[in-house]
Amino acid sequence: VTLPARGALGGVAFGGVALGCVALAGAALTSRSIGACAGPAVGPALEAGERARIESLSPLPPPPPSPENPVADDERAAELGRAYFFEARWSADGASSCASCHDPSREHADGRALPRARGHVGRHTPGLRGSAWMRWQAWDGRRDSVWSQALAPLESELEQGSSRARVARVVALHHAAAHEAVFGALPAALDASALPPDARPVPVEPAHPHARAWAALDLAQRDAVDPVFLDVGRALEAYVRRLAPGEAPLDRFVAALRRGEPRAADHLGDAGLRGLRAFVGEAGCFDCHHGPLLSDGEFHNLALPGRIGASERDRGRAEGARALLSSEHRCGGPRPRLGLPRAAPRCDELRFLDPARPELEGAFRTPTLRNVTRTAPYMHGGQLARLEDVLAFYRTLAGPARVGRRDHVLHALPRSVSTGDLLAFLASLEGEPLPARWTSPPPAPQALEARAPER
Amino acid sequence: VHVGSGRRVSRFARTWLAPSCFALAWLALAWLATAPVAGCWGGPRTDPEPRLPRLVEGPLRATTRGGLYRVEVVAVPRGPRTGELFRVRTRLRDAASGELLEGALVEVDAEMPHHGHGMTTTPVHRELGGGVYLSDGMRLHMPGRWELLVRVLTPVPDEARIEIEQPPAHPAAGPPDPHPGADP
Repeated sequence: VTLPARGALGGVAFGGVALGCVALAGAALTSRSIGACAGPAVGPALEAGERARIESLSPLPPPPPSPENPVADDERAAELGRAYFFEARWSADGASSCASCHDPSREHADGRALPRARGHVGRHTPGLRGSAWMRWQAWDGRRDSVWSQALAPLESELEQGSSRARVARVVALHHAAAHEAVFGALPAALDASALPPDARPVPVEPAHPHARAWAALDLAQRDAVDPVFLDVGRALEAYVRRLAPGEAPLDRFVAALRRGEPRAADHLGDAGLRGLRAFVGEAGCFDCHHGPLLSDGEFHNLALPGRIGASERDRGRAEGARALLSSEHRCGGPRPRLGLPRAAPRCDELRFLDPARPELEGAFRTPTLRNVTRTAPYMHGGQLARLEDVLAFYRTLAGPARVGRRDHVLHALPRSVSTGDLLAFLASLEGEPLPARWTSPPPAPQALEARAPER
Repeated sequence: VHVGSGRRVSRFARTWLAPSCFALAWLALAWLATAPVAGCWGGPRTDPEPRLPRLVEGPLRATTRGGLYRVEVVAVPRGPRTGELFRVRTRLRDAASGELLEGALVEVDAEMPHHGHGMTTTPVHRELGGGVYLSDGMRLHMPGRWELLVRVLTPVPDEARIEIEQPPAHPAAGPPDPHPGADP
């Protein structure tokens, strides 16, 4: 090698070193972006709108107030509601309780497509975790409060087959002390020994034996039974309000993102983060599954495939809205004189509800996606067995609507969105398990005191 | 010694230092060049679509399509959260004279044109007086792009459309107020 050549090589080497150093220095100066790419500090990598959408998913605030339930957040009422949730003595067969279908070991659902009940119930049992955050209750929104929804299965022929007279009698005979500790003295006119086995109003079937027995009761007895029945619903609501979805990896991710933690995305993993970004972006899931409950709380017609046992002609919200407006237990509905409380709620939701809107036909409530991996099968009729099936359905949106027409907001999942990524994100919605207290019956049997009839 | 030492340096430079520095430099440059494309460059990127006003920025003003009226709408509460019931107060003026118009029938509705649907509620409408009209029972149940439709039904029908952006509900602000304050 000649001396000039050596000089040239030395120059090249120096230039290479200098260039490398400059490049590395530049890279070091943009270390935030290095963090964004190499590490999981995703903050800078998210566009402003995307980040706002993600942050809007967490945290879940406390449940909204329940205007007609003064004991909604009362600890003793929740404990009483827990006892009522597992109470089977007031069911027609003496063996069914709320927990029979809303099994606490299965996220307060039953894991079946359709429930095993007294009669044929054509709707899938929804889990109860998070239901106290919902504006409307049940798949079709037939009730507008948890307490009123809790009462419906008790008197349903297809479910517990009970009646308010039977419920009031069980309260008086087996729960009087605990009930009175929460709600005050039971009505003086409540005479458990004088009540017929079953009595309740049945507006659609006045000749029903329960309806005839109800009509035969004197007014004082009816006025004594009704408030006790309502208070059972209020206690059940206090219990259901404790069934929070639980903090999930998504919540930890969003909290870390807000704090600017460099490894925030570790809470989701790479696939989970990709799934989240698709979820709030091109997949379009966020249109209906938004807010901390990952549900808009509204009703949509997905034009789902049929399933044996699930009604092919289920009108969903179109019937649910009518049922709600005619329910005695709707917001602002007629209340017995002794019921709590007497303050008139505004009931704005009902003022602006028009059951004749065509888009309500065949529409069902958007479920929360929190804990969704644990609540298979899916959809209002349990039509889809696994989450993979749900995503496959959204991939094609195959089949015409059986009732009404498919909601315009639905678009097939684009090819660019990976099923695996979305599943990874959905797994990040698994909340902490509930405290054992809320998943088991009360440890000691309720006081079995028999209450002396008061006349 | 001096020449020998220079030889050792140049051999080392030729065989190891220069190629590795080149490789390092090009790798770093390539990374720096691709980082912004991959969305990893520092600083937030902006949404591609032009920014639309939000209800909280009201009153929002528009002239009706036929040029007959000018409308000013303001939401109550001013920045309703996604899913929250709210009211809209509409101030109606004659476009030519600017005078407030009383005795008209004014209805406000909202649609998501990209989704092909409207609201899930059926608002009720009334006149408050002084050229101000109230539409109660509005709800934007999805975040995203909405159009407020201000329909003047009488004395002469005309309609204004106001595009707005509804931000996603922010839970840090607490749960939506189920009973927004009474309107005068």
